[in-house]
Amino acid sequence: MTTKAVEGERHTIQVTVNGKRQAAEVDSHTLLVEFLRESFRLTGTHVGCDTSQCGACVVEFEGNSVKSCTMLAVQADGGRITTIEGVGSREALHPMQEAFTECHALQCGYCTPGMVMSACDLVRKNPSPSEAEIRDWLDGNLCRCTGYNNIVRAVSEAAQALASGAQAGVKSGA
Amino acid sequence: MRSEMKALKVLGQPLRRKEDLRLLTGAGRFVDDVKLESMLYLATVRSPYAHARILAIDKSEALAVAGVVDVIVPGDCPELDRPLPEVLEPGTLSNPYCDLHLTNPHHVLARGKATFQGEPVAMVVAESKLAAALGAEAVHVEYEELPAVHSAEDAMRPGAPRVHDANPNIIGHLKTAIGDLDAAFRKADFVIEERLAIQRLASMPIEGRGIVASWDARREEMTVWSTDQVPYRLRDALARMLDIHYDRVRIISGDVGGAFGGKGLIAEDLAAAALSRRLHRPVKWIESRSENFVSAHARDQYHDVRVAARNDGTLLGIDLKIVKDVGAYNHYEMVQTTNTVNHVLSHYKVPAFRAEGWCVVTNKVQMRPTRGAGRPEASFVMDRVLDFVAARTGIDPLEVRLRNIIPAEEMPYSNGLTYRDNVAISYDGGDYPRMLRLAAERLGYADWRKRQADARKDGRLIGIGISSSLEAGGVGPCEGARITIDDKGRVSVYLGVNSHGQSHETTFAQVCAEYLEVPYESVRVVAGDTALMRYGYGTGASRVGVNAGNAVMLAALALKQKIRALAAHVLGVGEDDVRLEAQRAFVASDPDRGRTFAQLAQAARANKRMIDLGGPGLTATEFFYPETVTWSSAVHMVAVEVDPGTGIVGVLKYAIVHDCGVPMNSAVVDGQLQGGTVQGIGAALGEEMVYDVSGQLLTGSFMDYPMPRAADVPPFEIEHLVTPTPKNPLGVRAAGEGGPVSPPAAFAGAVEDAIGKRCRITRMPLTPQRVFEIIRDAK
Amino acid sequence: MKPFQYRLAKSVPEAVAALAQIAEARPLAGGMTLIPALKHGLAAPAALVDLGGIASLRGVSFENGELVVGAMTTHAAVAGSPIVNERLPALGRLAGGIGDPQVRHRGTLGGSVANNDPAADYPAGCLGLGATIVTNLRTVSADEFFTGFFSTALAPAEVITSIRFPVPMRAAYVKFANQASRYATVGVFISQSANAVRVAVTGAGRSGVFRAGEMEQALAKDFRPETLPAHCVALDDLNTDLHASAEYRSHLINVLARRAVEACMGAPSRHPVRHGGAYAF
Repeated sequence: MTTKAVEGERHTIQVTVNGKRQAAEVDSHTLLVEFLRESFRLTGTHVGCDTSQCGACVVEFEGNSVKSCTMLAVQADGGRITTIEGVGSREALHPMQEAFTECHALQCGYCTPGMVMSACDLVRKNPSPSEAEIRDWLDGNLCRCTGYNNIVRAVSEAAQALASGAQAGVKSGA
Repeated sequence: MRSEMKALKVLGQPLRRKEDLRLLTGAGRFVDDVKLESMLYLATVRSPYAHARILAIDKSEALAVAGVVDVIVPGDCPELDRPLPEVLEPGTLSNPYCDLHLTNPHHVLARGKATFQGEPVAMVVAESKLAAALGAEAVHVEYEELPAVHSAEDAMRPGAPRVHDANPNIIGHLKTAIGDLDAAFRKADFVIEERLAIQRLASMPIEGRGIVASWDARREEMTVWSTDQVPYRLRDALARMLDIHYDRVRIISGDVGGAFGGKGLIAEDLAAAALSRRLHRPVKWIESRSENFVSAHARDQYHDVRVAARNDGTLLGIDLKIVKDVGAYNHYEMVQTTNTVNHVLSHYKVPAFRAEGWCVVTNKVQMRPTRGAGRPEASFVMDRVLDFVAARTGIDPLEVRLRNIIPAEEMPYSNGLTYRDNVAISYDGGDYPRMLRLAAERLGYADWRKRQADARKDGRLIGIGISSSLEAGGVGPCEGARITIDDKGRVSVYLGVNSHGQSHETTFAQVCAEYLEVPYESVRVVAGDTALMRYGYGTGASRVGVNAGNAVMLAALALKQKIRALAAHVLGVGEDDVRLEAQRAFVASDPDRGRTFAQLAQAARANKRMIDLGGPGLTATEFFYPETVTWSSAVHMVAVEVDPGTGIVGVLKYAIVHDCGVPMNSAVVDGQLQGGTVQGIGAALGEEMVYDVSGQLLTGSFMDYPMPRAADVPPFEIEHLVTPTPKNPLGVRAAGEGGPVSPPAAFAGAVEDAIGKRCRITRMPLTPQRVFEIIRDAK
Repeated sequence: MKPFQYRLAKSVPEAVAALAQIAEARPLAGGMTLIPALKHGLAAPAALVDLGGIASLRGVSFENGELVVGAMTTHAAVAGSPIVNERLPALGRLAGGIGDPQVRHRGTLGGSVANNDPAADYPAGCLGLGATIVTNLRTVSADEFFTGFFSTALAPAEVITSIRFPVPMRAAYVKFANQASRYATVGVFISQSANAVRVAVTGAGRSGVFRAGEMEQALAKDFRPETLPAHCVALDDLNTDLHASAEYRSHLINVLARRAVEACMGAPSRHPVRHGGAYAF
């Protein structure tokens, strides 16, 4: 009888997470989401499915929103990652977070970090999205509580707030 | 019972949620975020067959996987040899209709044979999640596949294979009747008969289930982090399994990522706790989405309905036979079928009604409630019936409804049925005709009728659907609240109910702020920890707003009374001379003489006056016991366009009129309604758990199970009415289930109306393919 | 997920060498299909050779009347490429309709084409445009490249480097997306060039993407939706699953082909595109 090795091959990677550059050891089979949650205890990034549909795990990688459950940690080597923890703080919410609470765009909050990360990516790329563009963009993020309409409204209001510079002093991108 | 209506300052306001700051910044704490020193991970080996004898389990290869600590099969762990507890223990039921209820023992691990695909067969504990998963893969189980029953109809056939050897497949029966049904059918101008079916689907919160169980061997105490909707039931089940006092088990809920009825006790909960005590290490189990798909389903009920009606569109009688497929195990007695019976008459007067129902086991995943719990089935039956009557008589569907509706002046209205708490049903107010007319107005009903006729000339298919619903909610027995003021005047509200998105920290802070007359900002709601309150009955069945809301109100009033008594003592005046305002108690005739709540809280620590006031501290605990349920109501109307090419159903307009009494936070109520409605749209247009004939689930992931997404939902036109209920002091009704109940019926009506040609829509969901087939067959 | 080795290739020869050397090694492109397959144990390679570090495999250019797209160009990059949207907007729209934004940020042309999922969009684009698939070894026409259900003409250790798309006079892709997965239940790509009309159908065929010859002939004679035959493929050759029967798929092929022809003619459909979504009267 053979004993299968559970330990995979280890790699040392360099990543910049929420602005902080750090080196880490990862297994080749470690997913980016596991790496963020386990190695850095950045538990705001969630896992809601295993087929890349729900989007609870969305983070920003090299300027794009990606599903961190469908990327290996080694693939992030050398890259910049922003998670929900790097978007805003309790004291200074990002305008997107501000709009989510103002518009009652969350209930249980499980999908929310991924939803915010995805929405921030949209308004970075399209500063004044139409309602239809917002709905289409959020295709990779499932929410079971809100019914989406308040989320769509929040993204639209955040885009307006960001565009009009109403939130001066807050950085304009996640 | 309701106290005099006062002008509300805080209650009902759409205040920002207190939960949001942490959830928006990634600081929520969900079960999977809990990581303890030396924690082990649990993985489950599941039956790949719907029905199979288990001949042998070989765990040797799994035990050899690096990191695997133990492999558990039946008999390995005596604590796990007892069946899972029933949700409703036989003998404690008050269901007035149910005359048969058989229980099949549901073991943590299948004994002898597996009865559905996904049933736990063995479990593996390991040092890492990966090792546990690899270990589970290395457990070799030898099965002998048995013939499976994959539908209730098959299961009821004589000679059908038995799902459980000890009992027949029909495990539950109920019946009830009002009026003279035979006379109704004798007097009828016409009779309609149809089979109407609501599909099997699932709750699908974005977070799956999970548990971390940690046994403290020195203190002999179990601490558990869990996603369970009813933490006290989990506490009691673990205490019973471990044979310890239930105060030695503490369940912490933290943040829970949605539940909708599906997050109850399951096998892994018991296993994690038993293994933690056995191994003296914390044990964690997190359900994958794939596992979530085979852990609990909902609905799956069909209805054979016979209707006696007159040519003027009035209903004379309904004869209803209901069959519910409960899957392999049923822990909910006949609650959902009973709900269907008690909601099916909806907003309408039906002089004669007879209902009979059966619960049937099959080789499919066990049934749990999901949002609506028998009510979407009820509205589907009633609104389909009314639409069929409209089609038969040529009277407009809106008019048919107005001819049968309960007039506002007949409130409170009793239809002769009995609720499952054994109290006679009485609709406690509301104006159903007004709601229906208002919904028609908000939709632009007359206008859409005109546009429908015009569009038909161009070959375009436009239709309107109408559905009314009722939601009996706020079922007891009770909930409690404890309110405490600290030395700085800060207020804590402790509850025995946990939240999975319902905004408890916000809404109950509003109730407390309103009735204790303190700032909303100073109130913190603490819940989801069985160490804080010793009793709680769970967040489900839209019961928490009524039960906990009124408990908070009663506790706030009791605490004010206590403050008044203490202040009178401290100030040396009579209680009637004390006034409370702005967190301060003072002498009415001399407002400068007074004490702040903070000062009184300090005084209450040692002042002997507190002997008669329940002991030290400014604290009060009250429980609210409702007499019976309260009834919320809704009307949904939708105008759709059907693409005859693809079968796609697009929404032109969607209007909702909703009445759930006094809102605690209007934005929260609106959010419940919208989110629930979208779940209903998912059920109407796509969601379905599909099995093949061998009992294999074909829809095992989000690749095949269509969850509604942002672009799949329309904006809603919503009108909230407020008819306070006299049945509780706050005047609140249930708000959780006004959304999901009506969409299936409304879309069925709308699509049928759009296609025309006397087609009849009789089963859900209306996937594009199904709509294509209906159009094809209508030609 | 079972452990495996990981190699980041810096060049095509390095990738090819690694794939040849390590038994049961697989190339990793965007990973949007492969990583979920690893998670579910549907694939368990001994090693992954990551093509993500090879800069020469990314980018879009227009050369000799053809649009040349590097194999590792993401769907988002194709959808957002000014060159694509000027020369071949139908391809840009196809890429912009794959999966969701996060999938489009990682998923690649080469990965999609090499996988040849029978419900993927790009194979229809390649076949419908008569593209040429360029590998490290050779060039293969799309007609010869897609050989059946999840299978292609690629040899072991052969990797796609780019795909060359001839630019037709007009082209359109119309897709009926699966409600759940957003893959094509049926997708029809139609192009008209000076000498030919091509109609490629994805999502429907039992052995993957195929050309609808009867439709091509009808449209070559008269490029109008009305000329399309109601049924162009034997039902036995069409897929039946829980989402769509062969009969429904056959019907959809005709409906979508008509809409694609209308789109080529500049008359986009006014029908609702999303089940349950808002629709203007």
